Amino acid sequence: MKRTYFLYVEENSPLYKLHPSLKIFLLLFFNIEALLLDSPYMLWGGIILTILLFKVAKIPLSRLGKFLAFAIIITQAIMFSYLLGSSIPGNIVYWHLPWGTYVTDVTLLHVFTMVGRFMLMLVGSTLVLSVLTDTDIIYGLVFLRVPYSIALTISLAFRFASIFLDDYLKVRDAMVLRGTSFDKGNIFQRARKYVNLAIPLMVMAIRRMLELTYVLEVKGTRLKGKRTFYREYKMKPYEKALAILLLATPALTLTMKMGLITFILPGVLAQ
Amino acid sequence: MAKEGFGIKQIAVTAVTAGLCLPLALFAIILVPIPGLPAASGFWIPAGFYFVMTLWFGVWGALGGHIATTIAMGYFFGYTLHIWVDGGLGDFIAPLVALVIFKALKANPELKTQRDYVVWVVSVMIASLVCGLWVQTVHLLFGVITWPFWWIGVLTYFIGDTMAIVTVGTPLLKALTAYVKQSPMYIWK
Amino acid sequence: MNGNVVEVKGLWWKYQGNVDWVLKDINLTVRKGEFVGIIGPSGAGKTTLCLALTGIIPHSIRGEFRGEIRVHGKNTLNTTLTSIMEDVGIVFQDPDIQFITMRVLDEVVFPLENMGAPRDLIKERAEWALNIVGLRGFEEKHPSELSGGQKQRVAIASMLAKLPKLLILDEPTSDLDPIGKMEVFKVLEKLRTDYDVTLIVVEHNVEELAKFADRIILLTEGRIVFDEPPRRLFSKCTELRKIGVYPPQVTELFYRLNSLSGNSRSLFLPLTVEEAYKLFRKQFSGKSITMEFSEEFSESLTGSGRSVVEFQNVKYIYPDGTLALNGINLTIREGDFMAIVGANGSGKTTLAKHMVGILKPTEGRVLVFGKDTRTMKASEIALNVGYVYQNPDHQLFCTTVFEECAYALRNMGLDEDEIEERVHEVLDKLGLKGLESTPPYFLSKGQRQRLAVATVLVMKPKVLVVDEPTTGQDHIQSESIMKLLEKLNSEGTTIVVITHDMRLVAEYAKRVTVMYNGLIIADGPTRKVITSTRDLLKSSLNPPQITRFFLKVNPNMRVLTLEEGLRILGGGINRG
Repeated sequence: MKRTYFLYVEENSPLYKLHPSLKIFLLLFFNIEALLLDSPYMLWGGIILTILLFKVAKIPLSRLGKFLAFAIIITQAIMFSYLLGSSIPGNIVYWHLPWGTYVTDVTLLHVFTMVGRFMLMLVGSTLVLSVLTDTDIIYGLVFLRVPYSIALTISLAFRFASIFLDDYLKVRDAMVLRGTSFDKGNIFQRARKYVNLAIPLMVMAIRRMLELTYVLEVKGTRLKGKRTFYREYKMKPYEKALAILLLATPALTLTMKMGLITFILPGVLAQ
Repeated sequence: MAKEGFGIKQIAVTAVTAGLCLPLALFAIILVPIPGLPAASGFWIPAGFYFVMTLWFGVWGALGGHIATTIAMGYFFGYTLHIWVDGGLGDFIAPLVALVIFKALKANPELKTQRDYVVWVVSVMIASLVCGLWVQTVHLLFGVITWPFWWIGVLTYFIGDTMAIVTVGTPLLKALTAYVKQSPMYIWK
Repeated sequence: MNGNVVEVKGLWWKYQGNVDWVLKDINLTVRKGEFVGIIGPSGAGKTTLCLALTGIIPHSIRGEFRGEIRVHGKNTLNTTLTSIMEDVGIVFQDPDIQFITMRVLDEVVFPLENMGAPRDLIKERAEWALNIVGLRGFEEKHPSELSGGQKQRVAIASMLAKLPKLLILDEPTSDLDPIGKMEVFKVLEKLRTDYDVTLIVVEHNVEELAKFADRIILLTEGRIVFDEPPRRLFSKCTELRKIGVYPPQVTELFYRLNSLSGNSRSLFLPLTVEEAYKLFRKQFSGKSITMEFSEEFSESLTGSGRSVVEFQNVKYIYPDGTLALNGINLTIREGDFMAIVGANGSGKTTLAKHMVGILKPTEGRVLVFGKDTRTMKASEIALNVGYVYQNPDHQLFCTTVFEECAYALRNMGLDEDEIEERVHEVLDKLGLKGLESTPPYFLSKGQRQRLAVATVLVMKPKVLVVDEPTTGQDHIQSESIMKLLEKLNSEGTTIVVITHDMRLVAEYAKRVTVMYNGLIIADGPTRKVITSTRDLLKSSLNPPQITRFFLKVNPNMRVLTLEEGLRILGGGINRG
């Protein structure tokens, strides 16, 4: 098993072995494609295909269970907004609301499409994050010509997050042992307790900033000029083909959306 | 303000700010979620931290807050473009707005006078409003909400963020600025 | 170049905004292949000197710099930091903050990548460096999967890979458990003997330094007071003690024996147990050393009062599945002064957290004053059992010293008059009077440590659990804390100390519990446990040097302290 962002994945997962920049491309692909597609059928079809990819990539579907609550919340938010606050003309009007908005068949199609859009982004990004390692993030970004300083900063952020989480829990416990109850009180009273928690965390943060500066200096950190990247990632021919596909698909979708290619997809929302 | 590019000191500020705010952001999302408003916490505690870090260390504190928010929100709500553009970028722009106002009105982060307090609160309020406008407009453009709900979201963000930042940030500025001043990364000369 | 790796001439340094100079007229030369130790009390300027040798001072830190430092011929003032770093490596105290990447291999190759070295060279050096530190096979490990000692070895490998002319280690073992310390010193020994690396090591652990260092520099208040080979330096026992530096116990033992016998000649003084034993055989052959000590030094008293904390078949499994406690049965009695010892991961802190109710057992139960902790809140238990964290910064969260002490009392609902009285009393006791309105983060580390104790003591707990109170502290500060705990114990507070410092355990604790892999493998009076080396060795612990020496002399001689040793051998001298 190999360690990734979401903990562990099987070493022979085909997605795990992909070039780091392709993984980042894939992440962007799901998001951009979801935004470009207007057809609910294409969106939900994409979701089903992505779920199948979980199987191919040997990633447990239970990873998605983590986001179930959010999926429900966002569905609810979208439904709430459109059913109570929109006036989209359609063929059938289901009901009028006292404040002047109404719900039609096209309203429901919009809801279906919007929910599909978010679900595709969510499912797709979860797939990629399940096979993405922290090293992939750095090498992938660098390969995409993002400045190394950004990649290094993100890597350090992850590193310090686990250090500060440990500190946070210790300070919290120390406060509990001195009689603090984080569950009691109104929002302001609880916030004041977090202020007390903030003070030692901030003090430790300030000290660590300085220490980190020294550490980066002594390791000869160079942000400009020639720098070797030890880990070598060479793109295989099929990965190059995949990269072209990942770039071409949103381009194609965009041209279809702009009407440059006439290909009417079922259920495309009227603009 | 010391004008330095993105060097080692700046990386340290950004990374440590992000590392500090990330667990706080994770807990804040669980602490006061807003039913019906996706990816929102009613009391965004980490904002108190990265607003203060931005006042002390400049844009690098805001960048750290942005990284923390994006990662934390993505952890719960998926790493989607929507999450990055709304909360992530919103939480980058907001503290910078506060910093610009603070600098323009030449207030002291140590909050020594009443004027400093007023400038601080006003800059937070304006920054929170900007954040609310940004986030809700992004929701609107992504199709999560419709116009009638846009202003409700703006108001919620404005009130929630202002309360959190003022409640958490004010005592931090008052208590710690004297200590932070010793740091070579402090931007006020 | 003249064979000197380091040349420091007339170095003065003060930090920006400070009135006092931190380094005063430092003159120092280090030759190629030398192993130089630096010792001194806290605040002496040791870390500042290390930063100056790397060029971080003055390039990255503002202040006033006078004098000259040359490292491998390069003047640090006129050379870029990048260029200096090609020749110098430094390992700091905190193993976590130095690990900036997410994999061991990435960490080791990081400096070489920055230097733009070709891949083949990076591969070769990385393998070599990991081999030296004994971490081949760990390349893809994440920092969370490593112990403190392993992380520190990775830090050393990372510096070694660039083949520095000079390797500086600033208190590399302070934060480590005994296994970690041993691992790091093994690497240093290898570097010294097999690779002729020039080393400068700042340490409080004088016994290890004495074994390996060619020279030891004593720094006090920014000045070099002594710069001598270990044997010569540690022969100045009286002077060192005055400064707050404790020589190796066997050295001091024979120094004082020489004084007792009226021998004013400069005699050979041992640095290690082996040398001490050889000297003992030479000096005491023909003299009878009786075993009167067994009557003279009675078994140290353990608490005989009622049970205050009781563990009954306690098992604890962390959420990630780690079995931290595996069937603990333990009774702590009123009046105990107990030390819990063991390697990292043995379960000491988990055990302590169960005492204060932060953790509740997965199986079994913990009784505090007869009540099951599972039915109590941690804040309730804290009224009777106080817990002091290893890092005082984790428990200081108010804006003034007074507020820090008053915090818990306000939560307890006491009136302001009583709060005022209790706070002033405890601050006075802990030597913090006059600092009431000072923000805690402006205090020194030693003061913060005492404040952390004060914040708990003010609640008047009947039991005080103190987690690693002497880590990273110099001898004076460590003694000061232990003496405070001893005083509290004499006033009726039950004390439980978690520590790796066996010398302090021997001197202060009345009872020792040894943990290993979530189990208690030894528990009893200090003398009995500390001299049972088998149990200690299983936990990779070593009895104090003086104990080891006397056990070598006679396995029945269970000596704990220098004073006891003096009484035995001093008596032998007098009996002729």
